[in-house]
Amino acid sequence: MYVIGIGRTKFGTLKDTMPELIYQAMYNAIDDSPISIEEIGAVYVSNFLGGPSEKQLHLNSVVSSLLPELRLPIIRVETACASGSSALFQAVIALSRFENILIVGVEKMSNATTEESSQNLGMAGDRTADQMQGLIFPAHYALVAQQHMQKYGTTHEDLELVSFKNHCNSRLNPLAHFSHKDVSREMIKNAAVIASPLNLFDCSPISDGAAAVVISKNKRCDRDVTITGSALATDHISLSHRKEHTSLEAAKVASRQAYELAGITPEDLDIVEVHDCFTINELVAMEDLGICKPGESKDWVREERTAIKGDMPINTDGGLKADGHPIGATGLAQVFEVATQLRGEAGKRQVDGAEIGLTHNIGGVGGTAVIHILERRS
Amino acid sequence: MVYECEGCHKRWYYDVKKCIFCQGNVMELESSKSTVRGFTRIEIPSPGHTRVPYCDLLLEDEYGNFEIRKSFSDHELGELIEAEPKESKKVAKSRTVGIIGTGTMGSGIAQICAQTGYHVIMIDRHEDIARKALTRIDKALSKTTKEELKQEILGRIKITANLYESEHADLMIEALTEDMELKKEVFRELDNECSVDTIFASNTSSLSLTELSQALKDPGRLVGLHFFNPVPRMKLVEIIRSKHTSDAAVEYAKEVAFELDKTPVITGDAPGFIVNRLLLIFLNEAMDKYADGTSTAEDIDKAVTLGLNHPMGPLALSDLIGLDVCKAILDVLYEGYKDPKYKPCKTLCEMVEKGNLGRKTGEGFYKY
Repeated sequence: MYVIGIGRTKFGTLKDTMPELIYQAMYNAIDDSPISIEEIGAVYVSNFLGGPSEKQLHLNSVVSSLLPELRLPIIRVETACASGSSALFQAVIALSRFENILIVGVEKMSNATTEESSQNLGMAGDRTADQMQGLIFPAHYALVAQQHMQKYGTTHEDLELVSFKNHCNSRLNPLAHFSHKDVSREMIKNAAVIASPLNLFDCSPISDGAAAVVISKNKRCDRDVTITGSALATDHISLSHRKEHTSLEAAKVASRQAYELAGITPEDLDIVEVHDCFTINELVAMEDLGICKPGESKDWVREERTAIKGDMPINTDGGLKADGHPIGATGLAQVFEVATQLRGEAGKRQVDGAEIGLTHNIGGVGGTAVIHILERRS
Repeated sequence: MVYECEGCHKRWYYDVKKCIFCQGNVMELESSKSTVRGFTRIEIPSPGHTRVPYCDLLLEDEYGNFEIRKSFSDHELGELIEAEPKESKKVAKSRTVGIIGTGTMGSGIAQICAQTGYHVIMIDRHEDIARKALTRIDKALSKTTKEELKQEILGRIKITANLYESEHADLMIEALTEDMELKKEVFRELDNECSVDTIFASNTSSLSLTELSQALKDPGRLVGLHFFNPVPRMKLVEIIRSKHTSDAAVEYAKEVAFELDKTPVITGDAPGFIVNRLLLIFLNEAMDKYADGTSTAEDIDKAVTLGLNHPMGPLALSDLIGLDVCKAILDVLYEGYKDPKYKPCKTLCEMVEKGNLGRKTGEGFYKY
């Protein structure tokens, strides 16, 4: 299985409508691939909040409208913030039937007010256990952060380091939400508290954007990247329904499966894209993925090991924090970045000699976890 | 709530009844206390959670099960917290509230008090009228509440014709018609029946609270608690401080308002308080504008809904309130402030005289 084409839009507060965003990402992915749109056998479209935010559902048919006369089998996939990778997971399985599949993820969030978005995003949590108690999404991860700090002595300064590193990376990514924003340690440290201990700079922004990936049964050209691992696991939707609050069990299960499929261990990874919807989740991800031991992620960020020039570069595109988090597109944007890096086409943010990469995409507070492993060996 | 299979001990957070693994019966695990294991203080409002900051606590019960609970007070890690009363949403304390008068306002107030988890005593001189009010509450709840929960809520409401049954009430809310003598008489009787700690509240929208409080031996115990119609939907409560109202009574009223999920505002005892004083002068002006004949009623209402972002125009609203009621409130304001700006306009007086009172008579500024 191969990634043969990738495409995305800029992330940020954009004028484009949802169908326009979908189209741009699809266009760019097909343009990037060696095949034409007529060779696509099926499409998966991923999106989280088209219903509540944009009053647009039946997205598979919207995609069909963008591909006149093709009448392809198209299906929408929704697993909250993990929708993009979940669509890819489905598409990988569907390669048993179709030669080439297009996966496109989209989110249009900027038309809703901040309060509406807060409520809409809350739908990724349990209606009774979480939403009714006012547990907005930053608060879910605030509890994880508070527990992590209590258990391992992680500090807010560690989270500031994650935020700062991702903002620095986004300055090297022209498509990132904050590609033009200079952010200082001071700004991060002094930002307004959202849900203690998390402040504004611990939170990913509300972004519009789309990303698309074309996958194929067969290798087409030298730029193609092999998908060696694809795994999805789930867990209780509410953090309070679980016993463990400093790690996400679903991410551990899915990553174990993905490593086994790819026949690699975490030490083999050259580049990783993790789901830093909130800074604490980048630390939790490093531990869940086995990159470091539980509680040791703080040491890695203090030693700058996860910077582009470090020995384990994480979120080279800026991550969800600074590249942006257009929910339905996020998982596919991670694949976009890993493929770009493995192809050696990442420009100023290129990680030298990257051959094996991983994407870690989380729905809600770990109710869904999807892991993909991509390789391109010279 | 946590449910456990009697056979294989798997646990759920939903009432699943039968175990999908072993077909065993799934029963509720009733916990009595929880320990605070984590917390976050939330600083930004979202729909349904507009009062900030608030805390969300991560609680662990004696079975090792966790839950998230919203709280407006700070808690320490390791602190023990009693289990929430099962059926209620968010009661800070168990309170008994007596409500006198079972009209639209009285039954609305009774409904939200019972929904909040308070014990409610609805008092009306005629028990059958109170019973009708209970039927109204039943009907209102049916639209939004599951049968089981509805029965629980209704089970907290007691109906009686006897004032002496209010002897254990923590709070008495009077929601009778706007008749000073009637209200005074009722408060005099309540003063004899209730405990010395009972707080008295009046839902009056126009009468002088200071005068009304003279009916009590200790006038400091009376506070104004002015709800808006429809009570379950309208977020505002005006808390009125008379010349004598004690700080304790005002604090108590604020606490209750928050528990009822309302937003309180505090004002002094002057005709119309805040909302009616501003509203009526506005409605009166709209009617006067209509009278100059340069705009239709539709255009005046359209201008206000679109230009000021009001949900309803002033003329349509006047018709809904009833033009006689509008005039009566303006009369009270005019008398109270002795300022001609509150004088009911000519059009309003003429329409009331003709008997065109708005929706209830089929004609006002619009025909119905």
